[in-house]
Amino acid sequence: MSRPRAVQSALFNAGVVLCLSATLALAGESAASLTSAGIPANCANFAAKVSSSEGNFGSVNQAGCLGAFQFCPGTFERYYSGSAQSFLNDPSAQVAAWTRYQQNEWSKAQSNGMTSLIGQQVCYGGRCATVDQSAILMACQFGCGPRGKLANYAAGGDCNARNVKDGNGVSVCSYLIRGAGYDASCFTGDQSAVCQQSPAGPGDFPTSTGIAANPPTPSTASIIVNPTDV
Amino acid sequence: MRSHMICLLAAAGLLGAAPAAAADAAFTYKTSYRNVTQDPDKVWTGDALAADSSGTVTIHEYELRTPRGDYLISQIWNDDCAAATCPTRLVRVAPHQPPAIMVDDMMHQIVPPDDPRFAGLSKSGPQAAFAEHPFLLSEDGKTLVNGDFKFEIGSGKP
Repeated sequence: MSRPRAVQSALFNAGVVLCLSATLALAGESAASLTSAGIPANCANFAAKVSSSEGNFGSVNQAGCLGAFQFCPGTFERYYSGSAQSFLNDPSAQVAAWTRYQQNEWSKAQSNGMTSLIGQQVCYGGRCATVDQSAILMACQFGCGPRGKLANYAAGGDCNARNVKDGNGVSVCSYLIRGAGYDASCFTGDQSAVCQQSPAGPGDFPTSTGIAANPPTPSTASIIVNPTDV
Repeated sequence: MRSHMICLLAAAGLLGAAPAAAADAAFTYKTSYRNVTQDPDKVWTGDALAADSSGTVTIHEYELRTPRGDYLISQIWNDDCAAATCPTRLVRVAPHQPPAIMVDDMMHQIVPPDDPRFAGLSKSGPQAAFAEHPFLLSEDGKTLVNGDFKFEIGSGKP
């Protein structure tokens, strides 16, 4: 192997290793770690799904975006007043900032008409999903303002249009599909949008009405199921 | 914002993309206007300057002078921003003429050079490079490069 080819090969291998390392490093925080940092358990899966494409609590990407949800400088400025390093060192602060961010994005989605997409089917790249609240919030990563990519999609309905894609050619529709099906009620405040399935078994009945909301005391119950029995 | 950006930038840096990038022209930081209700350079007007939910609007500018003409990048931090991107325009500027918009799209948020909160962070080569020069003009003048994003110049408002 000639020296230039050897150098090229070494650089290639280094690049592959670096890419893999970056991928591993940005696997995101788990639902459990996010819950420990303050995310309500019912929304932890959605938070983990977002974090999986963002980073870990200590991550900084090439654009200077910080933490498990990659707060980039402009967003960081709005949601945290301390230093970048203190933010990286404080998972609870990241979760608190992200919760406020998600709540604000939901408000923007509502006021800008993006929630009209809820219930519609979106298909892109061979996959389809029904748009729900979590899908909207995931797609708000492309912006939920009146001139953002999601607004463009709401207006045009074309997943392949240039104005619904980012500078990498990634369509906002891929994020609508990616985000669908999660409990995001902690951010939207709408419990009714969660689990709209018809009751089919003993565990499927709503806990806000009927007997599930008024359970018997252990002393009067004929059967007691402990959390460890489930 | 996404992990593939890391991979692309790392691979580009290590696999020889640097010589091509070296021919690109880098925009240099010009200024920032904070808490504005009007754009002194008239790139942004109307609703774009409406106070966002945090009550403020900020504009960051980068400039580039070339034999083909002078260019300005203007990025506005307002309610249209996404988590990682904000509305950004590449405009061609000439004396006594309104700025001509060449690209209008969502681009990666810049790292304000004067923001002390980022001062304590150690930066890798690519991080430092992006922080200093977040916008590049391709050698043929047809593409605006912003990290892993690329925008065809002349495409105008999407």
